[in-house]
Amino acid sequence: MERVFKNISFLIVMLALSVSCCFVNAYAASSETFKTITSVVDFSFIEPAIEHEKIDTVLANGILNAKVYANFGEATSGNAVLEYKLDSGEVVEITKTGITNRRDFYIGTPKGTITKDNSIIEYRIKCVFDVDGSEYVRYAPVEASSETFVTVQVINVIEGNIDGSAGGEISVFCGDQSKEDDGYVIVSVPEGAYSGEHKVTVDFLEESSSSSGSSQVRENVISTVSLDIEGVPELNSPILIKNLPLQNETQASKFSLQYQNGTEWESVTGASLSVDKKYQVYTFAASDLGSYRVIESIKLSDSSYRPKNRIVVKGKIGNSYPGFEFKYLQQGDSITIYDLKGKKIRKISADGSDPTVWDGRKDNGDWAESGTYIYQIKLKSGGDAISGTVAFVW
Amino acid sequence: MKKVLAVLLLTIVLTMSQHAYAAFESTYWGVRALGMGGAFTAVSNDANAPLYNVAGLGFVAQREVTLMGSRLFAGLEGVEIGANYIGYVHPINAKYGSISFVWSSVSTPGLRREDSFNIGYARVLNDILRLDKEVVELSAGINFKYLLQEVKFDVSETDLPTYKGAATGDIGILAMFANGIGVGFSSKYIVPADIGFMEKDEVKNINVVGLSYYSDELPLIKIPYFTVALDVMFRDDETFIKAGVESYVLDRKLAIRLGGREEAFDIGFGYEFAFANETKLIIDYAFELPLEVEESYGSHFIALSFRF
Repeated sequence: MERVFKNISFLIVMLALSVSCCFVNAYAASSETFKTITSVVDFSFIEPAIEHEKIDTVLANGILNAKVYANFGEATSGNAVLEYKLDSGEVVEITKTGITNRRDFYIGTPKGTITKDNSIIEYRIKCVFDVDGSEYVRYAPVEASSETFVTVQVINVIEGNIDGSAGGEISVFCGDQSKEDDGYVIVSVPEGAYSGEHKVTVDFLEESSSSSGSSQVRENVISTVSLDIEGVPELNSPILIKNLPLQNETQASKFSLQYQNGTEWESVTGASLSVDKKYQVYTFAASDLGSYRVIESIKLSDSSYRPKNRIVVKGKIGNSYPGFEFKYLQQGDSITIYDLKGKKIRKISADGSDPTVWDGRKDNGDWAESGTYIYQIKLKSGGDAISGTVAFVW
Repeated sequence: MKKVLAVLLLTIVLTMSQHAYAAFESTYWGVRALGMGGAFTAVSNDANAPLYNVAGLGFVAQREVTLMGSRLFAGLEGVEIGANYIGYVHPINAKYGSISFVWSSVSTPGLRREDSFNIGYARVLNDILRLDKEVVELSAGINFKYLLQEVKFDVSETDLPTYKGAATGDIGILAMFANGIGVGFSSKYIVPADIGFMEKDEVKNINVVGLSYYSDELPLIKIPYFTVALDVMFRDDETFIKAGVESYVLDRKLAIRLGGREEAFDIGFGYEFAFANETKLIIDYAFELPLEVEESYGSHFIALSFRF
C-alpha cells in the first residue's frame, strides 16, 4: 500500500512538472506571439502618405541618400523603393524591406553608384505595403505629380573665385539628408593663403574601391580630392577641406591622409585630418595643391568577419537585404555553412567583392529550411576557422 | 505474421503520401539512441521512444523518467548550441497501454530555439489482432505535438512575431518478433505544421523504417546481449541512413554502443544501478564526432534515467 501511494505521488509530481513547464512556455509565447493587428475599419481616417524632401544635389561621393517618413495607414510595415535612371534610361531599383510604420528612415544608393559622368539623374521614391491582403503603393510627394521622376544634380567639382588675401569659403549642400544639419561640403580659404583673387577648383574624384592590407588590417580608400587654384603655384597657408564620404557607419580604427607626389602616394602628417564618425564627415588642411586621398584602416579580429545580421528572413531578401553579409573577405577566403546535423549545405568562395553574402540557399539552389546554421570562415592566410551561428527563417 | 505485415504496409502507404515543408528535425534526442547513431526506430523500448517511434511505449514495462543535457559542436568558439530533453513514460496496464509526456528543446542563446511538447500513447495490439505473443508482439502509438519556434529578432524586425507555434503529430508501429527481429515504422509530423514567421513554412514529414535484431548472445563471436539496428529515413526526395549496435556486459550493468550516420560517428556508454523493488538509476553518455564540421571536439550528451 505504501509503495502504491509512493508511486501515485511521484506520478502526480511528474504530471504537475510537465503541465507547469507547458504553462510557463505557453505564457511566454502568448505574451509575445499573438500581437493583435487592428483591421482597417475606415481607411480614410488615416490616409497613407510618404513624406520626403527633394534632394537637390548629389555631391562627389556618388551616394544618393534620402530621408523619408512613411505613413502606411493601418499597415504595420512595408517596403520602400528608390528608383533612379541611368544615362541609358534603364531604371535601377533599390528596395529596403521591413520599413516600420510612421518612422523616419533612410534609403540610398550603394557607395559609388552615381559617377561624375551622370551630371543629372532622375529618381523617385515609393513605398509598398499590404493592408488586409491588398497591395498599396504611395509615392513621395516631391512634385505636383508624385509618380514622375524628379531630377537631382550631381556635382563632383566645386569651383569659385576667392580672394586669397582676404580669405573666403565655398559651401555646397550635398543633398545627403541623412547628415541632418551637417550636410555641407566646404572649401575654406584662410586669410593670406595666396595673393589676389583666383579660381579655386576642388575636384572630388570618383571614389576608388581599392583595398589593401593584411588579414589583420584592411585599408580602403574612402575619398580622393584634387585641389587646384588657377595661377597660384603654391599656398602660404593650408586650405581647409570638409567632405562627407561615407554612407554607412565605419568600423575604422584609424584614418590617414596621403598626398600624390608624382606617381607615388605618400603619407601626410600634420594635416589635421579629423573624422566625425557620427556624421561621417572628414576634414583636413591641404598645405599643397594637388591630389589627396583619405584612407580608412580597419583592424580586423574574428568578430570583424562575423555577420552582423545573424537572423535573415527569407521573405525579406532583396536588393538592400541580400542575406547574411560576411565582411572583409578576400579572394581565396571561403565560408562553409552546415545545418544542425553537421551536414554541409553550402560552400561560398569569396571573389573579392565586399561583403560576401550567403543568400540562404543550398549548393543545389534550393532554399535552406528554417533553422539554426553553423558557419565556418576560412581565411587563405591560415589559422583556425572562425565559427558562429546564424538563423534563417521563412 | 501476415496481419503484422498488412498493418505495417497499410501504415506506410497511408503516411508516405503526406507532404510538408521545413525544420524541427529531431536528431539529438535520447542518449542511448544517440550512442547507437540514432538508429532506434525498431528498438524504442524506453523513455526515448516518444521521439523515435512512439509505438515503442507499448513495450515499456516500468515507469521511467529521463533527463538529457548536451553541448553540441564543442570547441567551436562562437557556437553555443544545446539540446535538452525531459521525458516520462507511464505504463498503465496491458488493456490501456502506456502514456508519455515529453519536452525537448534545441536552443542557441540569443538567437533561436525550437521547443516541442509531446503527449504520446501506445498499446500492444496482440489481443485485438489475435496475434500469438510467442511469435510476435505488435504495438501502435500516436504522439500529439506542439512545436514552438522562437527567434530573437532585432529591433528592425518589429513587424514579425517573436514566437510561432503549430500543432502536429506522429504515429508509429513496432513489431518485435520472438526470434529477435524488430521491424518499426514511424511517420513524424503527419499534420502540416506552419512555423513560418513571414511565409508559409510547414515542417517536413519524415518517414522512418527501422530494422533491428537482438540476441542474448550473438552467434559465432559471442557478444552478449547484442542489438544491431538500422534506420532508413525518408524526407522529401532525400534518404538518410543511421546504423548502430549495442551490447551489455558486466551482468547487463554496462552498455557499450557504437553507431553513425553520414555526417557523424557515435560512441556511447550506459551504466545501470539497481536498487530494491526493481528500481533502477541509469546514467548514459554519448559522444558524437561530426565528420564534416571542422575543428570541433564533438558533441557530448548525458542523461539520467530513473525506472521504478
